[in-house]
Amino acid sequence: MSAQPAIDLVRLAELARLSLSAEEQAALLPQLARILAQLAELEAVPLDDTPAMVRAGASSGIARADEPQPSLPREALLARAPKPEDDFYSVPKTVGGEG
Amino acid sequence: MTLPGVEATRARIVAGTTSAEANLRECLERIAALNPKLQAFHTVAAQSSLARATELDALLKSGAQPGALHGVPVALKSNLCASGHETNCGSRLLAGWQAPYTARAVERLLDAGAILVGMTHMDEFGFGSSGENSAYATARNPHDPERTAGGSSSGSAVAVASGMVPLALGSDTGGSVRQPAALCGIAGFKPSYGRIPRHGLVAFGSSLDCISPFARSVTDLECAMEVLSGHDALDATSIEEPPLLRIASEGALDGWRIGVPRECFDAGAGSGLDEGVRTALEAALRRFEQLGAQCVEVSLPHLRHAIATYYIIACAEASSNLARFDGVRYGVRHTAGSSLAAMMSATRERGFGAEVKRRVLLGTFVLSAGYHEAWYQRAQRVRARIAQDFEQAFEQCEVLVTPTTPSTAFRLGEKSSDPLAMYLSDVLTVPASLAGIPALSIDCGRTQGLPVGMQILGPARADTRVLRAGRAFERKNA
Amino acid sequence: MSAAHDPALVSPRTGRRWLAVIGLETHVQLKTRTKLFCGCEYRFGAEPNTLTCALCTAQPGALPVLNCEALALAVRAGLALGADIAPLSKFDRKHYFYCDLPKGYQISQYDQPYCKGGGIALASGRFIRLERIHMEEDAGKAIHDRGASTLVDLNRAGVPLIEMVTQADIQTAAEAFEYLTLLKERLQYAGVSDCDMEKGSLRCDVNISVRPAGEGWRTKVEIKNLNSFRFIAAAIEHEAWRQIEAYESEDPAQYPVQETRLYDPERNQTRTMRGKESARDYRYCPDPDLPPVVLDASFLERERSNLSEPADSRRARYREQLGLSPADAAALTSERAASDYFEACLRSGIDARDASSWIRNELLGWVGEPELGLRDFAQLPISPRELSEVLELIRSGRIASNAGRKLLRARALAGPDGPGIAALVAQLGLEQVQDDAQLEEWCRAALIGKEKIIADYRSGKEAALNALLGPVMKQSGGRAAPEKVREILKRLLSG
Repeated sequence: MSAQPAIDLVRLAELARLSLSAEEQAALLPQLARILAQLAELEAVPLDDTPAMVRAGASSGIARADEPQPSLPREALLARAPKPEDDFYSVPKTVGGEG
Repeated sequence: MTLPGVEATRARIVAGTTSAEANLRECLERIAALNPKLQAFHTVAAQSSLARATELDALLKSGAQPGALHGVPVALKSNLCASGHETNCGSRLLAGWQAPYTARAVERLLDAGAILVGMTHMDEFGFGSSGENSAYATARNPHDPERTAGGSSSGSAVAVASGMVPLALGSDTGGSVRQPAALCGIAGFKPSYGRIPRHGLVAFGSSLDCISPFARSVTDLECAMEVLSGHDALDATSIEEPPLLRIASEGALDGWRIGVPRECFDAGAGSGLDEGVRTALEAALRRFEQLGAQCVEVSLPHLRHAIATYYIIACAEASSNLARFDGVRYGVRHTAGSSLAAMMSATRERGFGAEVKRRVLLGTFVLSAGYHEAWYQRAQRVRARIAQDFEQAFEQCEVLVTPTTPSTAFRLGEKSSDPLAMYLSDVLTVPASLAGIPALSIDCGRTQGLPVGMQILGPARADTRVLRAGRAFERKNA
Repeated sequence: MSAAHDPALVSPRTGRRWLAVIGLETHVQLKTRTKLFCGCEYRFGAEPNTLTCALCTAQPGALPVLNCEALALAVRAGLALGADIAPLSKFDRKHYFYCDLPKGYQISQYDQPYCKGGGIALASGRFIRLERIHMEEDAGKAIHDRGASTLVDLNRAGVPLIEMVTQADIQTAAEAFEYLTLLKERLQYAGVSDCDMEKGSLRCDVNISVRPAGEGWRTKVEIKNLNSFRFIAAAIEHEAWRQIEAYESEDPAQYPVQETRLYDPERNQTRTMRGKESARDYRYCPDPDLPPVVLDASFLERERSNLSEPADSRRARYREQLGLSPADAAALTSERAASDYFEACLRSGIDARDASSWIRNELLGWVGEPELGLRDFAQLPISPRELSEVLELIRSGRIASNAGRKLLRARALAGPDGPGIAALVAQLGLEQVQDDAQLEEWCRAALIGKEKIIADYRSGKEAALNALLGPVMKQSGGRAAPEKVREILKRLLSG
């Protein structure tokens, strides 16, 4: 962590699937830099061997029996899709890998 | 304003003084009169709620046992799923979206006889402290419509504060119920993490999110908690305990120690505590002493790191939770170019507002290779320290008392251009979220005509204790 | 295929000795009724998008809850592979965007998998070490060959998988083939998975590099799209030589690069996967929706006791203690259900050879016959006790041995709730007729007009009797006791 983290906004936007416009990028970069500079104060907190805390409370691990529950009707789910096609969700043609 | 609360509404309907339908019509009239100015609701389900009220009246006549919330009109924040209602999360991306199922907490309300009146405005996906990040409308503070109602559960707070409904649900991730409750002069309760199942709450920061009720009194909140709380098999993080039950009411707090964290009152802690707020809180502490409690000073040394810790963790989780909004299965799709990636990017770019993009990018940054350990993991370790601070403080007292917010409701537009200033105003609410402990905000007076909120915190799972302290204070204050 | 003693690949052009370094990543689907985190059932080949709910389509607000049985099966797989089960593990989110991944992340296990170590010993004695096994959910299916759009079916989204990652211990295609065969057998015997590649319940990716003997490791390539063990072996063989030729070209531009390649079984070659992106960044983080997985000793003990004796040990026992042939032993253990059935037969007192021959010659062959509708051996509705009843009927001569076959098929056809053996014997009239008067009547009838045969017999051609036996059996509907018929015919002809 450093007070001046290098922000590769293009890469971040690609990872986050946001097609930021040039103006947005120009506006966001200094904002993010300023916020991160503030958040970077944690660097100075002495932590010794404190372990990470992922969540509050210590639920003892609720699990479920392997018993089938009714699925939702296909029509109900596809009716919510922006572009259903036949009995499927459809998206622009893509082949393999991570679109 | 002497509008009936949750208990009184139910009691009047059950006693036959009024009917569920007549009571609901009064609420709907009030909404019709006030909503255009205050912008609490984006959707009012007048027809379906009236049909339900009629049904409830018939049920009562038939001799059926009335539920704990029989006939009580409720409002929901728009990130709660209720079949047949629009859960748009204050986002363009989810315009018109209705969940194909109902949240467990909402189901519990309905099973207890509540009437779902409508869905309220909120900061987009819960990202905001003023309501201004809604893609639809900004709710206004009933005490001064030029001022913020707080956020992100803005509309739900306003609906209760203006008397449109006696009970509303919000969600509190870093203060999103407590802060608007404080700024609007009502009561809001963030229970222990996992006390109310999260099933059907659209996730923001999954390790922090708590469905939380608003009401006009602590007694009403207790009523709601009896219905809402309790373990649920559909949420693996829900506390494995039965619903909270109200304990016999006792006015006095004899022998209680009220912890006063010095960091929350220090001007130097960066909280920028207003003088008016400080004065109101000091008066409140004296009232606690009159109830038989003793005030003790305690210290939360890591409190000043709570904002940074909170924003790193909440943004990381938000960036992950919002990955599902890709335009494939639901929501408003935008296309650009011909590839799948371009479709997803355009959908998110045009569907998300500025604050959502900021937080998604921050979250992506702190989780990305090379930064993960130094930012995200480090924040989780500081989080553990903050929780430890609370544990140690609770060795010296039964509950802690702090202001809910450093200042009263600010003017709309005042902070909207400066995201960092907005983040910093959450300084007093985020620590309880990080620690997962119960936190109640109640009205403790006015300064310059605006409400001041007091926050009461208890150890993890000691929800009943916090509510009891709040109720005692409320009685004394009344 | 048998493992070569010398794993080296000798270049025909340069005579150089090369060694392949191979690791396998195998995914198998756990045999649960429902998905890993929701109550949807999964059936291969179901109508698209009919086995989904709010959770597995990632509707906002839905939360995952772990399926206990998936955890139990995963643990059993680890135990069957001799691995160490971690008392504490956790689920993480692995982020990437694709149309078949509804949440934008896959729930998997990153730095604290539930299982480490273990492995499989090959016949050569070489041990293929497992690095780790972890649980994860499957993605849905993107269909690219129908129309102008890519279509998405989410039935498979959320199905429980375990991924087993080997160390780079495998040296040849033959070893890879043997490892997979043994792995599949081990997991099937543990009842963990069907391991059916055709139905996608076993999938395998290969990591492979080559190096000159005596030198250090070089760039590794990942191969995907491998649909059978045979193709995996072929792809390894082909890819190893491709890499060797690339290095031997001495042109660095031709050298293998770190990439993912797809295997094309029609052309028997690998090619670079299209649309390769910049390096991935999965942004792993612990899944806050799922508490850590805590496995206590009693849970492990229970799963250990659920483990059955593995196939290789059963085979040895059948050969050495029961005196079965290696071919019989192999056939009986080819499927866990068949082997379990055989063991149950032994317990109900059936002679090992009888049981083996009936299972091998009849019952195993019935699986897949459309008439009987048995998808696998486990569905066979004949209990070992019933088989034993039938064998006893044959032994005592109450039914003919080919009537035994008929009877068992009838029993199989009748399904689990069908009539029992005794009822079927009566229903089908299979009991042999022993009544002398009846038999003699049939025999006399058979002799009418058979003067030529009678003369042959009387002139000393004993075999001529068989020509008379046939018509008697036919007339009796196959129920005449053949030994008695023989006696009666002899008596009548000698008279």
